Amino acid sequence: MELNKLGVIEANKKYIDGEFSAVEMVNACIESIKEHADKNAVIEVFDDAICCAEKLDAKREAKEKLGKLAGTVVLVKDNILVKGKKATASSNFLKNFESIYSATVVNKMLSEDAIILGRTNMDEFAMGSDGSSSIYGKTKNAIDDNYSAGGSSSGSAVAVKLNDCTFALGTDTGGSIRFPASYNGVCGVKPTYGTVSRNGVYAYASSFNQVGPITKNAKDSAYVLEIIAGVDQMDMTTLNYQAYDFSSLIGEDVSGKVYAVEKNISSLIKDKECESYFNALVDFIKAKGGVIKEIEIDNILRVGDVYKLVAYAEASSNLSRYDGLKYTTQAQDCLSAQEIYVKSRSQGFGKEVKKRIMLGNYILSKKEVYAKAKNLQQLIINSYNEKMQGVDCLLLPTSFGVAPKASENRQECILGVLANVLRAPSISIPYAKNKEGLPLGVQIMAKELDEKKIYQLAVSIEKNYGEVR
Amino acid sequence: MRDKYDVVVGLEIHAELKSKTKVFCSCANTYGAEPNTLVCPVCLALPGTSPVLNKKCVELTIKSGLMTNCKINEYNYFERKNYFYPDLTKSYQISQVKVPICVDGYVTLSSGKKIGISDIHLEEDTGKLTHIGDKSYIDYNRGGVPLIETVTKPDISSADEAVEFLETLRGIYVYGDIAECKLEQGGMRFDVNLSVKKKGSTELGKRVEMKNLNSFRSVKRAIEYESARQIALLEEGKEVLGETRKWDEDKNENVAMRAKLATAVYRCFADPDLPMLHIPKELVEEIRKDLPLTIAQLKELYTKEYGLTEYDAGVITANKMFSDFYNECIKLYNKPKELSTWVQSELMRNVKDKIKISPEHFVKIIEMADAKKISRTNAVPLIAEVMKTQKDPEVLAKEMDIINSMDDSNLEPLIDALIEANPKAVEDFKTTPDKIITFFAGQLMKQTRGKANVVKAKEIILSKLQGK
Repeated sequence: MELNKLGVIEANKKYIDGEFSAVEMVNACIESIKEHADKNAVIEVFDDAICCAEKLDAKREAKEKLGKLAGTVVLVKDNILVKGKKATASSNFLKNFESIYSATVVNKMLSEDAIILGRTNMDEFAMGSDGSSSIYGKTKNAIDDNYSAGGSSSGSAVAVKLNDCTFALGTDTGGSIRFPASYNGVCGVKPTYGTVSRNGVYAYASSFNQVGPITKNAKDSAYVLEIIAGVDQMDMTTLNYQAYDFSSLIGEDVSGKVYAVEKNISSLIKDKECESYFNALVDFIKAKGGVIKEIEIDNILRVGDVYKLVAYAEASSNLSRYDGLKYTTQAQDCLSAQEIYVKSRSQGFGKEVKKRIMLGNYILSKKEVYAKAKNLQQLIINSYNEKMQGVDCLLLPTSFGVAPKASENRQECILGVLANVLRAPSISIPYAKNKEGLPLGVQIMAKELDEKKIYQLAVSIEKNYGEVR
Repeated sequence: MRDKYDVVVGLEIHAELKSKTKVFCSCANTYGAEPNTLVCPVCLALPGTSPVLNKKCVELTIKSGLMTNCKINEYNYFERKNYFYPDLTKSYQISQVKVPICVDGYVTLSSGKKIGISDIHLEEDTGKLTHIGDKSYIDYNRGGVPLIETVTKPDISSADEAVEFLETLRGIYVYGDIAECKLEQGGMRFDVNLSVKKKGSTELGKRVEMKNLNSFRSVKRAIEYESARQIALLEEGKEVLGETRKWDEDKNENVAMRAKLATAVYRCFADPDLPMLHIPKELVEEIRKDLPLTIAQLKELYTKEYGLTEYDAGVITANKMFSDFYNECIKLYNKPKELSTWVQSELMRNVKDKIKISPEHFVKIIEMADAKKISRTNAVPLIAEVMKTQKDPEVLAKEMDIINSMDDSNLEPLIDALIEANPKAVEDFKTTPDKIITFFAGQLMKQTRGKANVVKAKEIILSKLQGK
């Protein structure tokens, strides 16, 4: 049994049944990480992981009750804080920052006996879509080094694909979980805004950001999401639900369910390969008895503008706490506070981050632009909710094709940011492979808090689609 | 010259709320702790933290609004004011800019004039910078302490009116348990906006802002100085510049601040970490139901209902601590005037900063004196002793041996002996009877260590002396 290849539910069951020890599991993952070091997905393995595994094994030995994540190993994106560990947002500015507290999601996983093995590479401050702006260097695509790993949660997606862990956490502000999930052939979900606490997660754009699991299959995704979701008194934007049900429809037939495609999005698909895969999936769902409906959401092509205006504005303010005075690195030989700000921030932030901060400040200095963008966001949400009446899920490609070449940049922002602007849940699951074996993901969205409908379809596609492909 | 002009003043008053914890985290809101001991990841703005609104602060702000006749906005929200400064950990201050909690109220002055309040909003205080030599130190204990900013309409027309308004407002906030307003601790700070215009003119002059004044006296002097400065400029045919000027307390003058500092652009936007604040009408009504009396209302109660003099009502309400105590005692002892005398003499004599005696014990002592169980003279040390030990007054009085144990029949021989020993006084009785009775009573109390029933004793002394 290759322990590191196990999924979450599987690993937990086998561990509780005594089929392997946590120490064995951690070692298997560490071996895998070493083997894949050239991919640059994992930037630190925590030195106390084995010790935590020993403690867990002792707990099992003592016949104590074991948590839902006992026997699993998780890697977290470098912008999620773990007490006593470095968390740098892959930025030069915070390269020495060690957190004195743990993110709520980390505490929730720990209380279910997960072992936190280390942290994964990402675009600096989660700004980017190919992992290239990290101080640790670019992450390579899990399947082929010549292709992009996607971003910003590049390390987490690649690590899951390479079985460096049982599952990983990423963050998604405008596609940052789903793009790398699609490019590397794993399952990644951006939950409904407010489902998962952002406490202890580096803020990029507060209005859009959500933490989500990256897993080897959709069932695990629902399982982990139920664990990390829930109201948190440390994050006032979390929705007031103690517990969520994401998995109760898993296994149910999709026959008679209504699935929508969006007219404007469909017309944007130029890649023949991508189009034919997508149409084949639609046909498959029809064959399974699903009803396909075409909808058109007002102003949908403006979600990219809304995203940029809101995200950059919020980022400029969220990142101004990194001022060179407190816990960041500080420029030398400064004679005034003003000079410390200017020099430290100039030296500390990378190019993409600076660009977004400057644009954000410009946006905020223009009266009402931010508020207008928020209003437009609400209009698009209203239209989405209206058009989704009687519809279970919306289907769309996660990206306009397989991973682009490592050096290329593709304009597919709209596919990533749509779910964030709509505050709606969206999952990306792998559903096709091209001739070179590169994976491609499909996105399944639903109305706010309708995650379980997403998982119903996702698991059904995962289980049955492979047979007809 | 001054009569030709109207002075137009608006005030912005920052007051630190009297809450147990800070406005966006659970650190203690306490003054005077060791620097940087009342801090946490949230108020230090560590990565990954976001504000958690303290409901108590919202309730206190609502209370401040209700006590100043404001309307409460059912929906209101917080914004970020972005600027870099070392005392500001997040590099933005969370405040309310467009839609605050309270709007459109007023405070009435003794003349009957109403000073309009345009809004009261909730925000957070910054840390504190100290400069020693060429070094600067930052204390973030104050960072995140809740502030309410009260903004008046430009209804104030003189320095004296401004001071009266501030005194009234402070009275309201202190009496409402909203803010302690300790000026010496920076618990209340003021910005003054001032312009002058030709008398009767409806056109307002250019407005000058003076920031961060920290006493009523400096507000008064700043208004006097600035109005004179502006009038002098206009008289010389010069122009008043709309600018921010810094008041220099030592020099008793103000100077223009650099334009760059004065015209900060805050790039405000609704804080995405804090959802829209909804204040249900029921909450407002609940707070309204429990509103305490203001000083003015208390004074009216004391004079009209309790029959105290204006003076006595003034003395008791001058300090909320005493009026609170008085209000508690009156529930147990329904003789308002007598109680007022006791509070003003026996109690105040014994109190430095805190009243360390319960209303129950205090009233018990008064009742013991009323029943002649102890003398009023001995009440003072007894109160002091109760404050020290917190023991029951009756038990203590016994321990102190001050219970009136003299049987009245035992008084006669003692009085006889005193009269015998003081022939001169007996002689003087004919000319100054009252003085002599008091003299003999005093001697008697001294001999009995205050345990004699003084009223009865005086009766006996009088009859004895009259019989001579």
